[in-house]
Amino acid sequence: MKTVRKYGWMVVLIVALLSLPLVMFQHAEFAGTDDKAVSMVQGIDKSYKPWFEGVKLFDSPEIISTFFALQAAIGASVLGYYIGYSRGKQQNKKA
Amino acid sequence: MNHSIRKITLAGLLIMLLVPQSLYAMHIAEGFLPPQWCLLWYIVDIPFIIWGIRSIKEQVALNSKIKILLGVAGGFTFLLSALKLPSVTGSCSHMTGTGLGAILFGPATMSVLGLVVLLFQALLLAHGGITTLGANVCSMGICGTFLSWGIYRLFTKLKVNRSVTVFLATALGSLFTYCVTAFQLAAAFPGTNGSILVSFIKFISVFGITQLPLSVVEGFISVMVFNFIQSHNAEELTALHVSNQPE
Repeated sequence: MKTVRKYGWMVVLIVALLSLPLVMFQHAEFAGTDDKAVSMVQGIDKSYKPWFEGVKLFDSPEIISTFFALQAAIGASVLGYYIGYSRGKQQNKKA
Repeated sequence: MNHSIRKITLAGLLIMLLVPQSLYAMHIAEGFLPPQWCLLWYIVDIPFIIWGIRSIKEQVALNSKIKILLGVAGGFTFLLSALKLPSVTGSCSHMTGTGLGAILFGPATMSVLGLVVLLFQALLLAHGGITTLGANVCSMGICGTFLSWGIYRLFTKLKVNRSVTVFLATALGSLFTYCVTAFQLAAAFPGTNGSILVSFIKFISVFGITQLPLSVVEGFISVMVFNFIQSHNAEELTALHVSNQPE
């Protein structure tokens, strides 16, 4: 309960900040912004062409989204492990 | 009700007009810095990475339990930088997650963790790039983390409330990361009259506005995680000289 009282308003604000743009721009594509770099850089220097295509191991957007999920999952697992471990340790001390 | 939605939509449209090319944020894409700039940023990074590897070794030797916190800092960065979030410009960007680690371990250690995350993203996610890795490590792993760490140290000395300090340090570090990105692009692509400033304003008006609300979100999340660490690993924080000041 203490946690809810302490952080409740933060969580509400976070949700508000992240959902506001979705309400504001219901039909925006929220573009994967890196792709649009071309237009901005080339707006300044029309002759510029990317000089390196990169060593993308995977091209499929589906596979890439899996890796994004994997990255988040790895991060969240470590955090979850730490939080659980710390809570358990604390309870052991109390007992 | 309908009226207010219309107002908000109008305001949104106005912002979009003010920021006509509001669609580029996040890291610099592969091939989008000329070779000499790629090289320059790589060279800038080298001393920090060497310093970082040394400082990780020292910190782990301090106290074996610090390893778990190192994992937390890395995991936090992994999680936060994987989430592309919508922003008020109608485009999306992501948080950095490096500010929290910078407070715990200092900027040098985080430059190494930043390198790991950015390498993962460049190779597996087609996000960022190998050629621009140097520039991206510099903005996210070095400049942003140095600012976070500096603000944390300064405000702790000034005895500002701990949560406020953590919030400002992480939020401003995240925002600053993208200011540096804007600068890196502006330096490589100055305006038609050769003015870096004109170009910088163009890039920053995009990066800054897109990142602003996300920085606030990052600040809040960092405060929650930091407070948890403080109440469960106080000893380790003292060993790292993070919390030897009164609450």
